Amino acid sequence: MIGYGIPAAFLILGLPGTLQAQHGPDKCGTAANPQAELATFAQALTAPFQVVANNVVRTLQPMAPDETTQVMTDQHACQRVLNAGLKQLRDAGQMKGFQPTGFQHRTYRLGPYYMIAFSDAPPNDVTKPNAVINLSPEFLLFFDVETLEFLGEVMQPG
Amino acid sequence: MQNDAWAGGNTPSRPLFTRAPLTCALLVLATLSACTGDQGHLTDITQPKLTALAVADSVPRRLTAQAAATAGVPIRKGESAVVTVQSTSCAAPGDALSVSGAFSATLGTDVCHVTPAAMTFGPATQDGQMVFSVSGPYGTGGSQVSGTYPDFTVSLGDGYGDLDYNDVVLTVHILPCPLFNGTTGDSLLDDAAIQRILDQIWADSHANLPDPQRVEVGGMIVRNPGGSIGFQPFTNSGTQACTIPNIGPDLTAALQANTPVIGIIHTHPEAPGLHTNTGQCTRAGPNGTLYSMHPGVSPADGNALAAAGSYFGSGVRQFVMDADSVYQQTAGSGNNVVTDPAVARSGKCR
Repeated sequence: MIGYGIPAAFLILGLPGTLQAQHGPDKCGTAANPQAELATFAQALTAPFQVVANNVVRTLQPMAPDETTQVMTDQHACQRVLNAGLKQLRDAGQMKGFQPTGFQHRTYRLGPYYMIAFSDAPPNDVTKPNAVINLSPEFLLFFDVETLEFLGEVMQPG
Repeated sequence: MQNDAWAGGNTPSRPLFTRAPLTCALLVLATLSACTGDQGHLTDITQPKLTALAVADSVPRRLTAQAAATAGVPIRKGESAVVTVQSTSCAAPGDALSVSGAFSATLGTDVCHVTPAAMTFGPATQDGQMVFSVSGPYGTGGSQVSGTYPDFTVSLGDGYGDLDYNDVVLTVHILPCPLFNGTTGDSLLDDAAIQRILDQIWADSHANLPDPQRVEVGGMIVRNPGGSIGFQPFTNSGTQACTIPNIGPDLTAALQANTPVIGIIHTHPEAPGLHTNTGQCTRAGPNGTLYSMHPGVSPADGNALAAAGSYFGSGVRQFVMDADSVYQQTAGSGNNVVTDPAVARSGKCR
């Protein structure tokens, strides 16, 4: 996995200014192999998921033109989603759940939704004895594409 | 041993002290010749063992069935068992071989003379034990069990009282609960021991219970010195619903102990529709609640496998099991992780 860690405490204090810059780290994310994950996420938005999702996120219609799924590359849009996602994590007290190395993220478009996935960044140095290695969850936050309204969250067990 | 010759008539030929009535035993020292039993065969009557017989010992030992040990073969829900009689060392007619507990059946009605064919039982509807017994003219004997999963040997007595446990010897081969529909083609996933480990950690996850009973369970698959498969649970296994915190010290300890870790496994106790409760893995949004059920391996899981690969080399596997599937990854070189196709569970197990 390739990722950059943003210390959780740093994020609680506020986003660094460099994240606002056009040439900073990829605002759309750093998680490895996002295309493979995209397929999994799209698969999640199927009828069984809709049941447990309490209809907050509806089922995608794969053949409809507006139902396309993609890994986001629009840096401006990704910045907005990232900011909104971090706010939700802070408000829910979930930032403290990330290990000291911080988190990695990736932003997706799933039909009418933006989805941003947050998870632990890779351990710093696993060659050190007793490195902190968590089988920790991944937070999937859904936002309306038009309004950026927060719709809900799925926690993928780790 | 009690494979002495059947002496004719309807009564087996046995040393007197085991089947003579009490009154006869009382008289044995004084009037040995009178204690001929009902057949008059007194081949053992002068043996020292008999002359030492006291009143307290004179109770026919074959009637003290409680003295015989009874042991069972453990079997879990979904597992099946192949039972094969390996040998008999008895002569009585009408000795019945039966099984009770997890299954109830008679395998043979004259096992000393007619060896029953191998029989398959299962799948078991719940966890339990298969208790075998031989019953016949001498009552019901006890049993002894040796071996480890998946192969056990059961040694049975026939109630005669000599506690030799060799009258019927049978083997029990446990067939794993079919986690998958057929074989997967993966040597590890098709290994019965690993399937049993997966089955067990799923059971221990209590996926159908509310938090905090519902927990992730996992550990390391290791290769034992003899080549068999072993399992070492993570220290923090079974503590939380959505994570197993910090497995680093467990990997370090295995590395320092030169324990070959060939895989890491854990559960995601999730399934569509499985949870109607709110709990650790849920969070209410402004328009409702989304429940955790996203399938697959989390990025942190992948990170953990990469770490395990850096410790134990490429090729270390990861299996993550939820109610529907087993997701798998393989550690490559340079911290790369390859995601292999998920394998659907058959749904027949826990």
